[in-house]
Order: sequence, then C-alpha cells, then structure tokens
Amino acid sequence: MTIKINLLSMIATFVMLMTTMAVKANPVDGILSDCMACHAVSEPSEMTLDERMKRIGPSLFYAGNKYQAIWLEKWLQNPTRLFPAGVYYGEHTVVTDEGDIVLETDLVTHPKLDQQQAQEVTRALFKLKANSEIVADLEVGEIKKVSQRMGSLNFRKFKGCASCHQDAEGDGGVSGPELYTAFERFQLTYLISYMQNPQAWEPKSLMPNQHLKQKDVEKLVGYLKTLSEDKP
Amino acid sequence: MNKLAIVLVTLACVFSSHSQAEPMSGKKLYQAYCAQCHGMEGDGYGINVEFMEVLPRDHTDTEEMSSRTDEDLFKVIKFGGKSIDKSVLMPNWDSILTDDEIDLLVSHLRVLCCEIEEE
Repeated sequence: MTIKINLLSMIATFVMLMTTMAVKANPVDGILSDCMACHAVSEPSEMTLDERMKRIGPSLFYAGNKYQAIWLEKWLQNPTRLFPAGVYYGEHTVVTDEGDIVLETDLVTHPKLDQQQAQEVTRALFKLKANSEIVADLEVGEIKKVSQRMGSLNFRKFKGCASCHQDAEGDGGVSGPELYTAFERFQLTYLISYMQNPQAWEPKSLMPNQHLKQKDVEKLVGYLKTLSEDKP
Repeated sequence: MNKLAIVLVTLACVFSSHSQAEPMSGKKLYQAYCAQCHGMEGDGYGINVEFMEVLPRDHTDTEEMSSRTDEDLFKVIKFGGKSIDKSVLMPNWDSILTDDEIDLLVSHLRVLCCEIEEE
C-alpha cells in the first residue's frame, strides 16, 4: 500500500510540475533563473489574455532573435525604462479627474548588472532562439534613412504609431514600448517581421497587425534609423 | 487511505485549474485593448491621449453612441477608423479579436454608453 501511495504521489507531483510549468521543452541557462520572476524565458505552450495582462517584463524566450547583443549588454549595466507604462499599462493606470495617468511609482525598475554579469546574461539570452523560422527566409532590403519631417508624419499621422509609442523621450503614447532606441535595440529582421505580424512572435501581443506591406514597414524602420543615428 | 485521497484531490485540482476555460468578457477585452486610448472608464481620456491629434471617442457619451449602430461599432473595431472614414489612429483589431470577441466588446460599449446590461 505504501509503495502504491508513494508511486501515486510521485505521479501526481510529476503531473503537477509538468502541467503548471506548461512550457515547451527548452533548456535554460541557470544564470537566467533570477529573470524568471518577471520574464518568460521558456516558450509557454499557450498564453491566455489574463496571463498576458499579468506579465511584468517582456518575453525572453526568443531574445537571441530579438535584441542586438551590443545594446543588450550595455542596457543591462545601465537599464532605462523601455515601457513608460509597464508591460501591461492597465496594472499601473489610475483614473483621475483630469484623465487617466500612469502611476510611475508603481513601475518596476530593472536591476543593474555589473559588466561580467551583463556579459554572462547576454550570452545566455542569445541561446534562446525560439521563432527562428520567422526570420530564417526574411529578405531585408537596404534600410534608407528618411527625413525627420517625413518620417514623423508617417509615424504619427499616416500610420498612427505615436498613439501607443514614443518616437522621442516624453513625446508620444505610453502603452507600448518606446521606439526612439528601437533601431539599436532590435535585430533588423525581428523589427521588420514583428511590425508585419506581431502575433507570429507573441500570440497575445497587444499590438494590432495593420497588414503593412514590407516596403511600408521598411520606411517606418528608416525613420527609426534616423532617430537612432541623428540623435541631438 | 487519507494519503490516497490527498493525491487524488491534488490531481483533480491540477487538472481542473488547467482545463477550466477562462471566462472572457467585453469588460476584460476593453481593459486589455481599448482603455489605453479610450480610458479605463471609457470617457475618452486614456493614458495615450496627451499627444494625440484626434481625441478618442467618449464611450460614455449616450447621445453620440446612440447614433451608432451595433454594425458600425463592429466594423470600426474590426477594420479600424479608416473603414468608416474616421481617424487612422483607431487601428483594425481583426488580427487579435475574433468576431465573437468583437460582439462582446460591442455589448460592453452599450453598457458604458447606455447602461444596457451586457449579454
């Protein structure tokens, strides 16, 4: 009887672990264990809207296909706020008589790493290569800078990106990540494919797919390049 | 026998918590996707509004909202402001929301504007 119960306990524990983890098999470097409180470092088998709304940091299970290593290593040593209202704005929004505002004191600050830690974490994150199939055959033309004026018009008036994103510090919508450092932050293939189809990367992404042609996306990315390279 | 009961209850809890379909509601969808511009309470003053050139619709405006049919609201959510000759700042949500979810949102808009009970 004891053996039977122990066996059942083991089965129950195993099933509970497998079910609660609910992730696709993907070995994760031990150094990333501290990141898991806020970030998904393993690909979830599925994510519900509730789970998306509770997330604190962006997904990292495809970090090796998303970020630029040079930027990442620098940012980890001196983290700036990328999501002005947090990864899900609703958790940090309060209603006031003058409209909704972001409760900035409520936002989580990313820990600062030293150089060695930043290098090790970057190395570990670059092993996380989910979604490689999205970028495998993506051909990207030359990204030409566009004038600040035309780029801004396109970003703000024609495509409506500024509703959710800032193209200059403190200027633009706050529910999405800031984009004035996007060109140096992201790999080009990620940037282009995400803008074309956010749900391919993150099924519960809050960003709508505006069915943009790759040429239109490349023009927007040209503006992000201008923002990055022509900093005042 | 007690141990066996604990094991079975644990298993039952694990499976029931994961097999339960999460209840989706118009309010939850509104808080996830719409409130960033239209406001947590639907008054048109969301956190993104400060830098917008066109103010988002005030969903608590009974008169204005009553002039829109459910079909208009469905269309503008699914295909964006351009589809009804309104601002491009209202994007198309067809890649994110199913038709059933858009119906839930339309019902929620009727709660916000006109205190009509959500279906």
